[in-house]
Amino acid sequence: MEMVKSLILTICLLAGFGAYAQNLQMGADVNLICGDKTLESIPTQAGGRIKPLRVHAEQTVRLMMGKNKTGLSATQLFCRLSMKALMPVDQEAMILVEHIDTKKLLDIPDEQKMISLDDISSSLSQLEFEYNKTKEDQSAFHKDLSKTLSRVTLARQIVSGQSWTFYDRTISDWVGLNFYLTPKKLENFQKETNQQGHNLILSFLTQSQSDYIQANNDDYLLELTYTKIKIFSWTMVVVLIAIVVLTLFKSLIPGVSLSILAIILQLIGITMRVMISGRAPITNMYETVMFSGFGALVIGSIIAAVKKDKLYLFGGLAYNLLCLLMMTFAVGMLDESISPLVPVLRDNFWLSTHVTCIILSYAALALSWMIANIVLAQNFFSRLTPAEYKKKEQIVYNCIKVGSVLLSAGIILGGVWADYSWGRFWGWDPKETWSLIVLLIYMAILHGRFSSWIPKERFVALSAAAFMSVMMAWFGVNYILASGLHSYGFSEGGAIFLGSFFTIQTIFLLVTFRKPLPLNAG
Amino acid sequence: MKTIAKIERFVGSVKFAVIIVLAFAAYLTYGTFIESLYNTDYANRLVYKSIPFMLLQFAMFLSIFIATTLRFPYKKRLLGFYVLHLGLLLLFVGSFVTYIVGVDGNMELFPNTPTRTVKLPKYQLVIKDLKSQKQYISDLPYTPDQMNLGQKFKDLSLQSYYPFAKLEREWVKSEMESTRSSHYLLKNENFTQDFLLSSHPDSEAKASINLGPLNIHYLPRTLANCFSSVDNQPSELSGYILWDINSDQCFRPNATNARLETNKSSQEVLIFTHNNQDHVFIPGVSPLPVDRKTFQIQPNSPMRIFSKKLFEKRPHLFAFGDKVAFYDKDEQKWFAEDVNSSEPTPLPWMGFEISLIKDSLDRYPTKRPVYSAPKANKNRIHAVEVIYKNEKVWATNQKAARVGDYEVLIRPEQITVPFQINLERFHMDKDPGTQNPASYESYVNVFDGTDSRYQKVFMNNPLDFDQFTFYQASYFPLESGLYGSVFSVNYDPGRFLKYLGSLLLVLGSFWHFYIRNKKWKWLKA
Repeated sequence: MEMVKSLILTICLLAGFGAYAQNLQMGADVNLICGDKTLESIPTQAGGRIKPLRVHAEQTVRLMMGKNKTGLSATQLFCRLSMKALMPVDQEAMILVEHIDTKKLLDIPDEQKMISLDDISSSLSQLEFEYNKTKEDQSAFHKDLSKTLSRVTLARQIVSGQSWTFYDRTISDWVGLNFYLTPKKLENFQKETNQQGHNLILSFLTQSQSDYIQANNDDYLLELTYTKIKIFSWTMVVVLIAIVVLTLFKSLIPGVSLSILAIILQLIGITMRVMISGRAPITNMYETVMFSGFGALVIGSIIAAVKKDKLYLFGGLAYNLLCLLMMTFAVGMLDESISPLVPVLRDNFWLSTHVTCIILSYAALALSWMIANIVLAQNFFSRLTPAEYKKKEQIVYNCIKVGSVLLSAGIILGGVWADYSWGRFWGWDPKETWSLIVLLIYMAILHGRFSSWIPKERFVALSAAAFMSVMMAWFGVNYILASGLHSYGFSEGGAIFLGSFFTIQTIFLLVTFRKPLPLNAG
Repeated sequence: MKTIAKIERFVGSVKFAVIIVLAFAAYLTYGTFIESLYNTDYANRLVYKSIPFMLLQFAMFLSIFIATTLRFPYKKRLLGFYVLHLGLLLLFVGSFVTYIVGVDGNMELFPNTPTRTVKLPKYQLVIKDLKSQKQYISDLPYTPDQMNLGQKFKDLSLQSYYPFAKLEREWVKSEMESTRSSHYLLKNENFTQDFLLSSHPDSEAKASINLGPLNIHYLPRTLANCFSSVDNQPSELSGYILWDINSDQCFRPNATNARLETNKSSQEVLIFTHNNQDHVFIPGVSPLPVDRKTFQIQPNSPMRIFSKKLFEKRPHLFAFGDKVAFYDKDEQKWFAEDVNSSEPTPLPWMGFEISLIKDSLDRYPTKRPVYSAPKANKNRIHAVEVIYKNEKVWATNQKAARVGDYEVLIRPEQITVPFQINLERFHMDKDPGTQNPASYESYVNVFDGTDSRYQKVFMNNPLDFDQFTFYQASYFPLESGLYGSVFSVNYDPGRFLKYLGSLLLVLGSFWHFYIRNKKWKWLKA
């Protein structure tokens, strides 16, 4: 019913504004308006935050159509679609459709990824009917219907001008484009400024930016800079070079300096993010990956300096690179947008320390995993001497020690947080249960090593395998358990990622297992 | 003695510890998958609060305890080990204390309504004897599966218990004669909905419903034929339908069997002659006939009059099972059309079409609890089957069952705190431009008979009173536009032990791994 109402509303709005369309054109060319770069910095209120238009446009376009393959920038596309509310624009809103059954319902071929808003609108009642019908079983199809329907709503909001909000100084509040840019206001503005055509509309639109900055401040512009400079992509290049340099050159100086540069760059990126969001950078998947990669590099560097062994640094860099690759390329899985937190997570000292502790422990365990795999590979390709092997095994053991102590502390701090926030020290919540499973698995390995039940030759391989539990606690709980095991097919990016990770790691362990490690290592 | 020592050494051994730790991890993994497949309550009942898991935890406690005692007498190098494992033991003891004597429940607060009941996450069966006004309570078993209670209470017999149930539609055989139930599908381009109509009093479906602006009425099938407009030149009489509710016959008044008059108060009067008997109606006043002389309504008469005019302005759909009737404004005519499952029947509003899904003369739709392992936190219905003489009814936590002189219902276990809390004001802030709550806070007054305290309770700022702690957990909207507030209520005597244990655990493990035997080597170097 909601959808029907919003449809009727949209039609009314569109019909209402059709009448203005002629007035608004005034010879203005939508290409010239939307092609203008100054639009990118206009503030807009969306999802409970103020952000520059470019950031909002990128997020909205990604939500609506997945990858933007129109050849236009997200801002241009968003602007053109929003302008449809006011004038005829030759641009169609495309909606991403993922599930094969949804495609069947819409009668589009399997290989087609998107459908236009006009085309999907005629099948909307069918979609809703199916959505209600499949509510009980919570299948992947049902979830895709839910996603598709919300994309339709989003697309409608955009083409009706409601998604693009402007600061209106006359009422000190935010209004949609369709209410901000009315012929009457534009006419008055023309009298004031004597501008014509697209220049008139552009100055009217950017007027809201100066009005907002005057009434508030221009802090929000930091997010535009943050989006533009793509600091983490650059860091990725630096880390990659650092790894190459560290492998090729005997001298440590170039590799170490590049590592320090990578740390500084990430520190800048994280600081900017903290300034934009106003909170600790550990509140969603994207940020935990970002923070753990950074943490592993820092921990690796410190132990490398203390123990005088570059393998720690090497492991830290390699893991950091993996994290940066995920942040840059796994956009479907890790959402980099900043959105407000739910109330219970706000202003909370225990939460911040607890999550930081857990993420740092995952970083240390990731370091142990990375180094363990490196050792396994080294031993596979060129047999390590028992002395070398023993030393490297000790390195893995050291990382696990750091990781387990941090993990126990993190789990306990989690209990303290839960007790402080809702009076329950422990509740068998899947996230906390899995972090306990991780701790138990590492405890079993440590106790096994201590009792010599696990021979040191096998300890390295077991450490690499144990990290799969960390991946399960970290990603699996969110991408597999939380999305419900009913969604067979695991079509979502996170599940595919995890599945591939487990498979590759297992195959790697099996391959390297064939070559026994030095027996007299201990 | 030797065997005991042997067992002791085995239980205290590292190998046993590793086995227990791995078993524990495996069991927990199973638990998280169960929770994902079903829901939290189900996982708690099946895994986390089950007896095998309790035993596993006890085995772990034992393993740690014996491993620690075996490493006495005291050795300095084992200090970290002692502290760490003592911390673990304290954590176990603390959790056990919480489990046995702690309280973890919810309190629902309505605005300006002093409350002292706390609901616990356990369900009870309550039987009220309506004659003696006595109430009997028994705990329901904490199980994930359906089971037979097999209990007797006076003349009631308690049979199946479903801890998780969903309501399923069932077409039940009707013992009454001449009832009918139908299931229709109404759709147009933007809207699709099915609906049920039934003339059976016990059905979940009603005889009259509204779907948005459309009013739908369910009438006996025999009336259908009188609805269509047959005469091309409608007279004043053709605006009426008459029917006999006893024989279920309908009649169209016409010049031979009826006449219209006007009475002294200039109301239209219709006189209908049937079986040589005159029935006098004032259609504008009542569907029942009146006495010819006194104009008193005759409530015992089986005759009714139906004025079609009243249903011409707004969209009204009359359904009769396999026929529907409606007034088409454009054609200014009444239509009575067939409706079936193969070909949808067009209706005169917004391109709507109607088709029949199911039509039954001897069965009616009703909802009955059916055991169903829960999916994704849905169906939270608990149901118990109650048998009284030959009657079989279901008592659920949503609907009490009335049977004989009893009322049977299921409700959460409750405790009463020795003070009352009054929600004086509830305030919520939203994220700008959205409907998402940014924060919410309750202003409450606590009164224990002597002292009263006014306090703001909000996220991460609980209310402490008389060893209980009240946390702002949730809220719910009320019809009045106000909000009610939900506190989670906690009483935890094991808290100190758990905190002490945690502290020892962290300190001990740190000592064990880093400080022992290190002698700060790297600092000197």
